[in-house]
Amino acid sequence: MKLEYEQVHCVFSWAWDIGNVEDHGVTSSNGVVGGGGEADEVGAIGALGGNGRPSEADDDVCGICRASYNGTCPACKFPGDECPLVVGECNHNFHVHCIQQWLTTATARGLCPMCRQRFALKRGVRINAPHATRFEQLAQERDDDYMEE
Amino acid sequence: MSQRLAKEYRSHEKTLASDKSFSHVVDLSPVSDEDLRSWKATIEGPPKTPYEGFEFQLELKIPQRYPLDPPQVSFLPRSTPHCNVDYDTGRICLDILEKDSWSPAWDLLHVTHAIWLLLANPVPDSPLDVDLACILRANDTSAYNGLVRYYLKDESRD
Repeated sequence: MKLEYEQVHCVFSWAWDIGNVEDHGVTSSNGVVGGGGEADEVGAIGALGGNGRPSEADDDVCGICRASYNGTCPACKFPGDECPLVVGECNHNFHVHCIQQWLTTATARGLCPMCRQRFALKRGVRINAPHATRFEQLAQERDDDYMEE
Repeated sequence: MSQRLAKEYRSHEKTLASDKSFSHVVDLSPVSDEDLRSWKATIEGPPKTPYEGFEFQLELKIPQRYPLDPPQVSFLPRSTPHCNVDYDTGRICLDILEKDSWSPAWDLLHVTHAIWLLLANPVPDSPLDVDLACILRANDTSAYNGLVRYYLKDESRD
């Protein structure tokens, strides 16, 4: 039998590197699982199901929009840098757009939707860094509101 | 957020078909596949309560901002005698259905389950049916149960 290639599609897989505290018992201070360079990605993908593909298990979805962490929030089209994740001090993860939208509602009272503790970004996690200022600002606005009441 | 509702639809269908711990939820589905903002549910009356042996229908209206805002849930009018339910309209008084206590981590199945639990655990301190609440506050459980049964049977006759 003779096979002829008609088309070749390049495929790659990626996953957010958010560590996996429950499963591994360790998370390094910069949020990286595994070694340097390419090994980072392998480590992160391994943590998400082992078959090189993120699984669709319950704990791999954002608790607010129920879409995969590696997918997008309902408002975005492209996953990745355009729709990043954040990790809470309480170890609950959300699409940054989802949790921001929740925290700006008055009734959220600044609490994590999953555990009802005050939501703050976990320190020392690399993917949180670009959002630190915005979340501090949100917390500040909330405290100001309380002062007025 | 209707993507989330579509996900819930698929996930609840699977859960109800396979998870025996939700066997009291007979049905939870959109009224029509065309509009995921309007759902209906059927729950069984909890065992060892006056509601046992009866089924109860719920209407769930999903607001535009769901899951940031809670769904609006009510029993069918004149179907459910309970101290936290307005008998004539079916309106339900339950904290997690209020904006202040709602969390987007909950979904329509949680809500339906919570209402089932409310049937078995009436809270006379925040009543919508004052008469039933007064009887409960006087600790007259047999009168409460009797009155509930009376209403339910009366309802199923017509």
